[in-house]
Amino acid sequence: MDGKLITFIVPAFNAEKTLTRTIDSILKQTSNKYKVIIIDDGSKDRTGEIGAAYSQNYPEIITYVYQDNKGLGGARNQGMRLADTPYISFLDSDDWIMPRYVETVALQLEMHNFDKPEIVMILPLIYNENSKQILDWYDKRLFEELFPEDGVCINPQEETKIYCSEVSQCRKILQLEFVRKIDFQFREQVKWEDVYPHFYLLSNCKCCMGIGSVGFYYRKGSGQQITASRGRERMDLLIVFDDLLNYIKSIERKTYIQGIRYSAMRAIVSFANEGIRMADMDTRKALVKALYQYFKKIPKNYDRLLLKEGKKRCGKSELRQYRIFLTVIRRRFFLPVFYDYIYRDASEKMVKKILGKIK
Amino acid sequence: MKQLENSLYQIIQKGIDGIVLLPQTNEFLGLIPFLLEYVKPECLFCLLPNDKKVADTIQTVYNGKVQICSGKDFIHFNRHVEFVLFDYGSAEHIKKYFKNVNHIIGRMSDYEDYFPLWESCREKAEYIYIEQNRTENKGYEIFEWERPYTQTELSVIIPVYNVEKYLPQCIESLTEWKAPYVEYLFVDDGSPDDSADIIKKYAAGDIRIKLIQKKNGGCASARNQGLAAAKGRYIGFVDADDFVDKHMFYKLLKRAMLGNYDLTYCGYSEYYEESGEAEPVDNECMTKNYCYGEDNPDKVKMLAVNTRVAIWRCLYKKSILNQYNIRFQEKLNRFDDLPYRTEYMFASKSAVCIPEYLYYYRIGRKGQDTACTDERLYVHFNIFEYLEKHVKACKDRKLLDLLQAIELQTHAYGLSKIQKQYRKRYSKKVKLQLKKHAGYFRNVVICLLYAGRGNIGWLTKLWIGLY
Repeated sequence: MDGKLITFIVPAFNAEKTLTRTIDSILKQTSNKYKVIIIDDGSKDRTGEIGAAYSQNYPEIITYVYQDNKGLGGARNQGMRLADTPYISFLDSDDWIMPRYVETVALQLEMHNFDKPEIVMILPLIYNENSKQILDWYDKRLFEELFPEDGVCINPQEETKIYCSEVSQCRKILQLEFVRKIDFQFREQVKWEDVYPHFYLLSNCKCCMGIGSVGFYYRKGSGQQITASRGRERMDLLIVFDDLLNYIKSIERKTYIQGIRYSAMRAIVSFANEGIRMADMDTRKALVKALYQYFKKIPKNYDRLLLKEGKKRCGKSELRQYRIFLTVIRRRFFLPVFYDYIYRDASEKMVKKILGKIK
Repeated sequence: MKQLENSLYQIIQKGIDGIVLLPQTNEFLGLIPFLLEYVKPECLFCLLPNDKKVADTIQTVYNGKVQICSGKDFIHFNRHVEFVLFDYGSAEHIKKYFKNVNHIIGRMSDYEDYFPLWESCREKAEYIYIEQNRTENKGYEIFEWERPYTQTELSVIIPVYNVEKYLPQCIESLTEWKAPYVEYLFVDDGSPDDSADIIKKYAAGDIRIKLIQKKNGGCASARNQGLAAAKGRYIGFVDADDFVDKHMFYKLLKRAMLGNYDLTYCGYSEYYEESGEAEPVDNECMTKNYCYGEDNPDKVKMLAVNTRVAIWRCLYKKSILNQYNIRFQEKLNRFDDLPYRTEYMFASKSAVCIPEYLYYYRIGRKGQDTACTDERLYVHFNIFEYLEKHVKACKDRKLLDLLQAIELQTHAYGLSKIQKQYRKRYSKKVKLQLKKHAGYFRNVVICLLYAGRGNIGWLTKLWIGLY
């Protein structure tokens, strides 16, 4: 172990335009305690050339690996197998980091050496490609509530609020030993691979540290992300949901069962809602039907749990959304009418009108 | 500040010597430690601000770490400065001392104007980044500019056909704005009259005016030819028989560049030929939200339904036109601007409005397109057939419904205008076309949501068969 602390796993699929910027941002770090693994996921453009050139120029730092297309999850698995530093971090090929990233993380990890945090949560920033503005991350408030300052550690088995945070894997820095111990792998060839691991990792972890200001930039609006896709890939949601449901059903420890089930339900409902909204015409029908079948498998008391806990924790409009979703998705008759997008627009307009009258 | 740091970081990686700082606030001084990681202290210059407290901080904390200068020093400054970083209220210094800088990054408060700074530095600079605060502390907007290959920022395309009578007024109103980074492309569509000569006469005195001559092929083909020749990043259209406020394109361009908006538009007035009076046309799309800058794509798409066709009131981005391959349809012999506009608005992600009436649309001229009331209106069906094919490829129910709303509005207009002897056939065709996508109830819902409640009446009449 030559003093290296963290390995950046960068899966790249047809990313010739953005890869250079991502890798350069890593190479410009103020601390040199890092390594990079670029995993070319069967790209058909110049990604391979760029990656190979980097590994030639920096043979000790950068490793370049080619593999046939296995999806983001497959690429990350390969990266985890190859990594040999105490910590690993996933960095997608269109994101980038500020020069102090490694330094800040290293400092905090040193200071909290005795805890040996298994997961480090960070707070990314969003770069909006259209307006070129930098926005706050989606769950900034929750994050600041959980981790009032850098380096605070919490135990996810006691503080269940942490499960409600945004599920992205890019914001987690994982301890390699921990990952190997629980034999963690992403599902291959599946989109939305972030959702299930979020719960799986957190519920197995005993110490989670938060670092707010590291400078991680997440690009939004370039149309490449999975969240922008509208076709058949949306159906992969169901595979991920299945994993998640089996997992939360199997949990038996009573101390935090309520919290984790609530946040899993919350994630399922909001992802499903968003999925239906974004899907195109052909996919939408299939997706709604499949979700109907899927929700049959969920015990009804989970619904009640979501609504009961939601009353305490989330806003009125959010709660209303959950309630409507659950009512609709469990009744076959309602499905076609409500899951046309028009229902959403119409209800929005109605609410505005009613609010206007009250004022 | 985070944002500024991020773009600063992009530039400074390249390795720059010779940075000048123009600070005004203490917050801004926080950048100095960041800069010192990349630049040697002897390359870092700092102009003392007017604010005494900040000036004191610089002298006590950063003395020796940066070279402290006053404004007078810069007049005899022999060193080449590559990079200027400026704070609120210090943009004036750049115009005074550093006209030849390559990179400019900074921020401005809401009462400052970024445009003059860009105008004076655009010839030498390669990269300019300005963060301008909005009024009432509501965040900021970003101006980010990289030197284009050409010196042209904006191309205004003017199709010309038999308009010698109105042409001088149009040209004069356009060229009153003397900016060198604009080009006026007059596309003469084979006019038999003296239009081309008039343009040539003006072009002799103004190099920004360019004349493209072609065989007669209709307005759409003229505009397409203009688009093919346009060099600017932004595109505007003007009809040769109309005229504009002399500040129109200045204001549009300025607004479009700050915040990188895909679509920028202003209001317009109808100008009555006979009486010489102009009357502003009110529009739903000029509400507060759009003036503030709308970046919700759903709301931007609603503009396609809420605004009149008027393509000349907008500024378009060439990159989007090319990316989605949006051109005028030459096969349609009339109203070719409707599909163009619809396609563009469905493709754009952000829009902003200028709440002023800057374009004058001439009404009452003989031979105007909108004046027709006979079977020429049947062209609507071809237009929508084309658009439906285009939109269906997007597989988006909402887009199809919005298109349906546009159809409803257009046909309502067509039915009200068309003469009696053609009306029956027209209405039958309308019904066929509307049925293709949605039944009666869905059409009613679309009326309620998008097209306007007023359409339900004639729609019902049409469905029962009363026309």
